[in-house]
Amino acid sequence: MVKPRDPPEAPDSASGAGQIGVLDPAAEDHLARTFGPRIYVMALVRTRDPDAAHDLSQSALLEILLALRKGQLRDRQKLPGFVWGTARNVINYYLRGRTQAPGSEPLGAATPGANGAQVQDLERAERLALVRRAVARLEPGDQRILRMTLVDGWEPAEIAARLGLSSEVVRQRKSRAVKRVIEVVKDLSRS
Amino acid sequence: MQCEQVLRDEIAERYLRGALSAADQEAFEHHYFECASCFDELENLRLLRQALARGAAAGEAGSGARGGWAPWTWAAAAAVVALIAGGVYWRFVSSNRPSGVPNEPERRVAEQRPAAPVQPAPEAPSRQLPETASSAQPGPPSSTGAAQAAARSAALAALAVVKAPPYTPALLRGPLDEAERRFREAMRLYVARDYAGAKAGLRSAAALDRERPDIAFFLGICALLTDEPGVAIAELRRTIALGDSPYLEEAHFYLAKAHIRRGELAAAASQLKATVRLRGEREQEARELLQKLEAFRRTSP
Repeated sequence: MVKPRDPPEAPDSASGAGQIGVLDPAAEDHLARTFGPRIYVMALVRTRDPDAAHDLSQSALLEILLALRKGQLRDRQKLPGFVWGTARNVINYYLRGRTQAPGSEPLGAATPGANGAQVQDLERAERLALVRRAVARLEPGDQRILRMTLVDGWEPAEIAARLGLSSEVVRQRKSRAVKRVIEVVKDLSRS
Repeated sequence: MQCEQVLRDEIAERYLRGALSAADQEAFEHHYFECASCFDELENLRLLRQALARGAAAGEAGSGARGGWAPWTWAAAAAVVALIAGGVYWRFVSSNRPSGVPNEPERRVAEQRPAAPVQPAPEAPSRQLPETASSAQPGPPSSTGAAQAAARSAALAALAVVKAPPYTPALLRGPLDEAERRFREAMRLYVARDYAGAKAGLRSAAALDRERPDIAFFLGICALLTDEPGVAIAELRRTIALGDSPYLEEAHFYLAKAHIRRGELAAAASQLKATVRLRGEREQEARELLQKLEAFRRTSP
C-alpha cells in the first residue's frame, strides 16, 4: 500500500536500526530523530493536546527501543510499520483513559530519546519561527485564506462564498501561499 | 496510499484538520512513517497552521476569549468604561470651560467609539447638555448622539453576553465511530476553552454525521463564542430541527443570543419565548432576558 514517491528520501531504516536488537547509541539516536517527530505529529493529531503528544511520543519511543533491544523485530525493512504500530497502540491506550504503563527498563537521561527530544524541540521552535516570518510576508488576503483553511477548517467553497471568490481561485491562492511559505522558509534557513 | 494521492487530495491538510476517515488517517500515517517528502510537507503545513493560529490568538490577545466570554463583549465593555470616564470628564470640563475653548476630551471619547459593536447611530438631540447644544462649539451635540448610540450598543452587547455552557462527557461504552471520535476530541478542546480548535473538530464531525444534535449544538456554541453569529444561527437552527433532544431548550436560548448579536431583536424575542414555553432550566433566565429585550426595543428609535 505504501509507495513513497521518492524512495531515497524515505527514512533510512537500515541506518536507523541497522542491527536490529543490537542498536548502538548512535543508531538509537538516529532512530529517535527519524521517528520521534512522526510519532509526535501522529499523537498530536489524535489527541489535539501538545503536552500529551510530547509525552506520548517519548513513551512510544521508549517502548520501541525496548522492543528492539529485546530483538522483537527481525526484519528491519518493517521498522517504519513496527514504529507506527507501536506508537498507535501507545496513543490508543492513552485515549482509552488508562494510565500509561512505564517501561520496565529505565533508559536514563543519556538515552537517545531524551537527548533527541530536546534537539527536536529546539529544531521545531526554530522552524516555527521561520514559518511565522514567512507567513508575515504573505499578503493579508492570502493569510486570511490560509487561516480559514488550516485553522478554522473551512472548505474552499465556504471560503469562496465568504470572500466572494470562486472555489478554484481560493484553492489556487491557498496552494500558492503554502508554496510561497515553504520557499521563504527554505531561503531563510539558508541565510 | 501514494505520494501523488497525498498531493492531489490534500491528504496532509485534511489529516491535520481531522477530516479524514479512520482508514485514510491510518493509511496516511503508515505512509508518512516511510516517506520523508510527505512527512516534510505535513510538518510544513502543521507549523504553518500553528503559526497562523498563534497569529490569530495574538490578534485577540486580552480579549478574554479563552475565558468563555465572547471577544466583542469586552470591546463593548471597554467602550462603556471609556464613555463613562469620558462623559464625566467632559461634563467637568464643559462646566468649567470658558467659551471658545475647544472641547478636546469629547473628541477623544468620540475617537474611542469604534471599539463598540457596530450599531446604527441615531441622530438624537442633545437633551442632557443644553448649554453645549446651543453653543457654536463643534462636538458636543453630535457627540452626545454618538454617545447615546454607543450606550445602546453597549446595552445590547450586555444582553448578548454568552458564557459557554458546560459540557459533561457521556460515559458510554461501545463502538466508537469516526464522528464520535472527532466529537470527543473537539470537546476536549472545548473543555479547555479552545473554542476555535473545538469548532474545527466539530465541523469535521458534523460533516460525517448531520443527525447528531450534540455536534450541531456545540458547533453552534463554538461559532457564537468565536464571533460567527451567522454560523451559530445555522447550527442552532439545525439542532432545533433535529427535534427533541437534551439540547433543544438551550439551542433556542443561544439562538436568541445569536440573533441579539446581529441586532435581530424580533427573532431573538421569538426564540426566548420558545425557550420559556419549554419550561426547562433556562426558563427563568429566558424570561428575564426577554423582559430586558422588550424594554430595550421599546426605547429604540
